[in-house]
Amino acid sequence: MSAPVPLALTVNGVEVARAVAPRTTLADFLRLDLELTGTHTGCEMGACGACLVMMDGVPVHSCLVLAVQAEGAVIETVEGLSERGAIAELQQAFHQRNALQCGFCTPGVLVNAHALLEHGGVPTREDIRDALSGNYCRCTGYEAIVDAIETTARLRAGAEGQP
Amino acid sequence: MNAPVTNAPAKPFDRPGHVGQPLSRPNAKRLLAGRGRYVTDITLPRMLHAVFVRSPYAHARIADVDIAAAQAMPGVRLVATGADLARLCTPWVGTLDHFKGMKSPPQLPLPLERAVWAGQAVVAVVADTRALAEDAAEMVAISFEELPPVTDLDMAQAEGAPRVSPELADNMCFRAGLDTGGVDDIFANAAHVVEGEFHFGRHTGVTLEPRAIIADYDPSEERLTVHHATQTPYQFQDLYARHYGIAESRVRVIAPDVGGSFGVKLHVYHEDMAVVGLSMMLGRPVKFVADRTEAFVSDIHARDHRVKARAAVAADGTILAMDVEDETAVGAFSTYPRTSAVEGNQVIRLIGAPYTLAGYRADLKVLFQNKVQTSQYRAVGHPIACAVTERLVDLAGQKAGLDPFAVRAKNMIADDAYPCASATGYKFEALSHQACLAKLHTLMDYDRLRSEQAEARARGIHRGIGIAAFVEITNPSPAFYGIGGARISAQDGAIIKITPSGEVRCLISVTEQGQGTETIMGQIVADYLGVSRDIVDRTSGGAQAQGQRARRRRGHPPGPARRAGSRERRNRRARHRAGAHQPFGGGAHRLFPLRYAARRHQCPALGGASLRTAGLSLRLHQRHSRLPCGGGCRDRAGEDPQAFRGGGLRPHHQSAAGGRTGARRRGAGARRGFLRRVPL
Repeated sequence: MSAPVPLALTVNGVEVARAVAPRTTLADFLRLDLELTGTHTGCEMGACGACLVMMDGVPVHSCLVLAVQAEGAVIETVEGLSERGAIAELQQAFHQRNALQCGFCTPGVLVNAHALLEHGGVPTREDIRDALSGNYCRCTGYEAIVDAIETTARLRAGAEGQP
Repeated sequence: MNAPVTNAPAKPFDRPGHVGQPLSRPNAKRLLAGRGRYVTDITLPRMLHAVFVRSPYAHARIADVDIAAAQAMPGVRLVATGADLARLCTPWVGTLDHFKGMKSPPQLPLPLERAVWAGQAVVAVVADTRALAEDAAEMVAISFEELPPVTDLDMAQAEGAPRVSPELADNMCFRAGLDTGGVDDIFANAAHVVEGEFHFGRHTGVTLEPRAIIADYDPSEERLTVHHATQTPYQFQDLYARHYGIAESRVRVIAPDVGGSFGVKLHVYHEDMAVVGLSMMLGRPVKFVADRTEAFVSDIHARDHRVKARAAVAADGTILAMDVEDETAVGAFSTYPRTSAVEGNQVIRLIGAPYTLAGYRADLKVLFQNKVQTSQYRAVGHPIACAVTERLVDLAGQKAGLDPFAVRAKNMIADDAYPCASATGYKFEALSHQACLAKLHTLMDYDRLRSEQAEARARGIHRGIGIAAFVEITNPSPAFYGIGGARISAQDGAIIKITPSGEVRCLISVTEQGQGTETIMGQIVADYLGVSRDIVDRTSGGAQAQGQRARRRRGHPPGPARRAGSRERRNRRARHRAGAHQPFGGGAHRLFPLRYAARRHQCPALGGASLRTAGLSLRLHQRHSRLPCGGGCRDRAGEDPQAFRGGGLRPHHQSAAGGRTGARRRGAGARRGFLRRVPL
């Protein structure tokens, strides 16, 4: 095990400086060092999408990024997106459509949906499904998830949301 | 003293309410904000982390274990072998009393002499962090001497086959049969006989949150608290208490948010039992989270079956009888406490269930092999029974020249035939297969699909249309396992407390993994008491209920009031709760024992058997019952790959649930039978 190295980055709008072991993943750094447990680790091999966070405006698998690779980066987790209201409409639509069951995949899904909707416009259901192709929901709630994201996109575009 | 619980019918709800309304789940908001609290998220003070060194062999003698180098690694607090844990934990055997002749070898947290599947945990390493524990685990040296493994059904039954357990006479875990009689005669005289052989590969559950547990043993009070990602906290309270010799009242199991379960998280796993022992050895909290690779080699598997089945069919397409052989290969032992035999048992009892059969015969063999243990996972046995049945029905239709809908309509149990029993002995109260089939025909616009199919076929595109009927076993009641001696649902129940401020606390033993359990309980309680559901605070996970009792015995106030209110009111409530009130009754605190029997939220059943309940003086009553839900569904697999992609696991799918479910059980009363008023 190598000695800890210094790491400075911005997480949810706050500048953070810590010493981390070089082998620490960004996911473990967020969950264990910063106690941001909304980011989940389901597979730790980039397959399930539960660990998705925004890194410099792009969704990344935090289980596949070493914390030291995030030096100087701007990270946003589900907690940050939630607290600054960036995903309030998505959360509302997910709640109304009951687009979650156990909720373990949900933060990753929300982060990914947020990234998709940041492009603007109303994506087709096909686009939404394509964007979510890296998110596993083992309770199999995909239909409702697509509905909720589509509803939010329509709402934001000023069109009438569909149930 | 608790007043006796009567079986008088409940009064209808006398005010407009929440039941029947499509309400949102209050607890979903927390999960949507990233504020879920799963066991994987929990960190306790001075908590240590366990990892396991696993066998790379399916079957091997453990010749030597050298832990010295691992013990010397940084941050290591304990390296434990099977012998260390065997001094604390008594063995368990995965059999049930009512499965006659069933056998399985005793199990321990970690093996003493032999590893019996590839991936079995052999040595435990506990260190300050998971990473340090993994570093040290690499330094454990185990000398294995490979033994011949049993790897499939044929090998398990072969003459002179190696035995998975030397202490058992053969590799047969359990054998059972069903026979209505006269089956050979029916087949001899039938116009057609259709048959097939069906192979089902192993599945596993793959919960998105892997199995996770934190055991926290406090030697000063001899008290064990376990934070456990499980569906069944009371079951584990019983098991940890019994196998580690701790008083049950000093064992608390907390099931917080659980990231998917699907049946995977209600079995005894060797690592989980080991973690309890490790915490006892160290006197500190010990956490274990299976990583994904570990989950694949240690979570239960299911559905490893080979079924040979045939049906006797009359010239007009009437299915007369079925004759079935099911062979299922389980692990090296039967899973505890539900066993590995229930799945096969349900396969042979559910085959043919939606149809009227004059004769039925089945032979079930459950065989050991050197693989991961198998047990109950999502829809136990149903998919196998359904696939076999429906294939035979399709073949029968083809022989008789009947359309798939027509052959089903001809053979289904008629909607006016209930109550009745299946040929395999399941008692059906009121199903509605005919109505389902008719509704499905309309919903899917069957005739249009057929013509589209024909057009597509002409263009060289082959599209399949599949029709299937099934009967789902629901709410089998605590007696399902209790009759065999497993205290799985023995403490299921709900406790309602009305607080001095007029709020309601509802503590329910069952857990929620997103199915809406807490919401449903809130609806029922609010309606029954005639209050808004906003003032009903629901807590699931069983051990929380226990925790309330425990706190009150010690005179501490419960946790901070969750509902908004004035500071003064909260303080008053806290003072009141902290006072000298007895746990059960007295003052404004009245605890209402409620009967509760909703494993599946649509199918309540209540009634008369007393439960094997140690520790609670409440007399709960619950009627033994199996209330099947009928349904039909069609899957259309065609040229639409998108339907498979986004949905991942589920092809284009439409279903019509059986309308009349368990709500009609033995007359009045059961319909709203969830709750009964109890005299104070």
